[in-house]
Amino acid sequence: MKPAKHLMIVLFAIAALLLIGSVLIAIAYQAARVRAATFVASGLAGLLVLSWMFRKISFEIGIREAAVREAGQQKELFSKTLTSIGDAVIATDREGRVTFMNPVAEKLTGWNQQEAFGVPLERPFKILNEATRQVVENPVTKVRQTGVVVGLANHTILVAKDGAERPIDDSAAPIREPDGNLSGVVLVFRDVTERRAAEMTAQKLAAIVENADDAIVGKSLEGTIQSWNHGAECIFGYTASEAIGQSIMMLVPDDKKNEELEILSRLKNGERIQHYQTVRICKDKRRIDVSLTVSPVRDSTGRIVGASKIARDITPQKETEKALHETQRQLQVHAQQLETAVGARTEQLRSTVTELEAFCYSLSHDMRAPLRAIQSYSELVLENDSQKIGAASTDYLKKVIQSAVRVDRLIQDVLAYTRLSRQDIILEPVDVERLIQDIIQERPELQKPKAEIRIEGPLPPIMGHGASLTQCISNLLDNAVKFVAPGVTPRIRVYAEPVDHKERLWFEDNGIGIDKAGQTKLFEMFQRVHGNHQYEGTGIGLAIVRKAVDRMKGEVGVESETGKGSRFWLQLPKADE
Amino acid sequence: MKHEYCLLVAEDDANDVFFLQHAFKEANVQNPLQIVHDGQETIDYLAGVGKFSDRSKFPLPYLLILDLKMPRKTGLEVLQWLQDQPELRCLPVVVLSSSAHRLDIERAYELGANAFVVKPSAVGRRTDLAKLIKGFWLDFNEAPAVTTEGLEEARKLRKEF
Repeated sequence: MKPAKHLMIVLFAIAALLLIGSVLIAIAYQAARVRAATFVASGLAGLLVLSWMFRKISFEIGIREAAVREAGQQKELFSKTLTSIGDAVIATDREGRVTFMNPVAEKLTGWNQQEAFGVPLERPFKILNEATRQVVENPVTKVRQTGVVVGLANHTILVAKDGAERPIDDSAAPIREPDGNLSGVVLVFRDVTERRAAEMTAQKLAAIVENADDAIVGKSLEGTIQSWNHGAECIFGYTASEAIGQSIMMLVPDDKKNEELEILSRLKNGERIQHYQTVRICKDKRRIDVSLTVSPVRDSTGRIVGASKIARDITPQKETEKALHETQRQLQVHAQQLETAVGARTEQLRSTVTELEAFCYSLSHDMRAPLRAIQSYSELVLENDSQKIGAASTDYLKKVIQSAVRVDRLIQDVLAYTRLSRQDIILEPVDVERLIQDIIQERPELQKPKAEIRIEGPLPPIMGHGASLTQCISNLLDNAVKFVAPGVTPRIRVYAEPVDHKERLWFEDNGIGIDKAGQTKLFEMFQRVHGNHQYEGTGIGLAIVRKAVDRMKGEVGVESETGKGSRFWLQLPKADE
Repeated sequence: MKHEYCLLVAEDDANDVFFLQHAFKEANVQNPLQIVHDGQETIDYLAGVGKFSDRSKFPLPYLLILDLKMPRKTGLEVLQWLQDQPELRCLPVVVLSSSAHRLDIERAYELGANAFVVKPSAVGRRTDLAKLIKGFWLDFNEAPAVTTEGLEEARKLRKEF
């Protein structure tokens, strides 16, 4: 119900009510003054009598009874109406004292009509300014002064009897008598809590939209811009006043016009377009990458009346993506270059290895042939003509043969070393005791009476590579029998000792021993600790041992002292683990 | 009888040829030695082509003593060629190499070599080898028909398989 119309009815009702009331009261006053004594005891009875008198007088002045009844009916109707309407109504007399309160007013103020009757309006109708919390001037006062209808300022709060506060919306109107004199004021108000909440929500939403970083644009189905938030201004450069009323097409680059038409037509069908990545143009003609979400906007009947468009500037994101791609590309290029470089180096290495192999092959064939020739021809001369050449030359030729033999052995040792470095090694359990016995069996120089080798068995099986292990142990035993003082029979003790999870094989000899300095470089290539003179050798034997043990993931070492023999050891994993 | 069959020595090193001849003489080997100096010549001799086309002068050998590292074609290539000859593939071959290169050994046997020997450096050892060759290959061993009766006979024999 519109407040104006409502007011009219109320006004009319109140005016009628008051007209009757005031006549009654006026007469009552008059009667009270004349026959005070008579009516003091029973006011109500007096009133009834007066009413009766009034009726008589009315009758006397020619008002028909029917008319009076009609007025009573009218009064009841107005009262019912006031009681039934949804808005709160309070009426006051000329002095601003409450004369009427409908149930809604009772509910909102927390006062009932009986207790409020005759009470100054500002008590049951206590109103504050929401912001200042100051008591607001009672509208009745203003109406009395101005004699016109007065509306309350916005954000007025009514404080109920129990302290509850409610935002209200109200207006006050004068009640006039037929002669135009003010007889009271009627106040109509309503609880606007819900409306205020809705308003607040709407305001909040508007603030959210306005403060969003994304551009949020409302447009009609024809593409006319209807709203434009701050985000849109930031992203596209147009102010709201520049943009609203314009076509959305001003943001669309020429090559994307069809796309916008497509979006509009999809919208008309109620479709929603989400995270659609495209390009838009700013006021300064800059092209930016945006992600669009466009949704249809419906009115209360569900009809599509426009669209909301959220545009996010994804230019930085796109640039990041581009940078990422570029980085990835560069990385790929680098990886490729690296691969090429590695490939080239591997190829180089492979060709070096091939050359090395060719060199070794040549070493074993071509270089040994002339050595063979030197040795053989010398031997033939010695065989056939030693008588003719004499003792000195015979000795020379023997030295030639020795030299050739030494070089040949050197070559064979180098080849053995190279082979050990290159060949694949598969570790498997080796019966090392058997292996040592086999070595001794094949070599007369390791047997009695030339040497005494005692194996203090049983030697546990170890993990190793048979051929490599044979090479190692042969070399160690060779050294043990070779490096003894003149006239001493080599005595060698072989035994095993568990160390951690490994087995250490000891080769203890009664040889000349090795000083500390010699021990440190003993296992290096071409190191010969003892002079050429007494003890022949290539200086490769122990290097081969070290290499072979390395390949078998083992260790090798020596404990020795000059003149007190040496204890060489090999350490390899146990076979049962 | 067997001492009439010739031995073919394929060896490019003149010294080694000389030592071998010396060793065979020491070992009292009476079979004639035919000498070829590279792999290609070996193949030509065995195929009886070019200057070796006269089989009466260059008969098929009873035993081939083959060096591995030779110019033009290597010993291994000669073995490969022999593999492709229906009758000659049976020819007994003793490989004499300067080294016990593991790959060479495997490859030589793979290609049908019957023995692989590393050339001894000492004269005495070489004579021992010559004696063993004589004792085994030229005495105890029975050779296939192609070495004694020639290609034709060998071919006929093989048809009876």
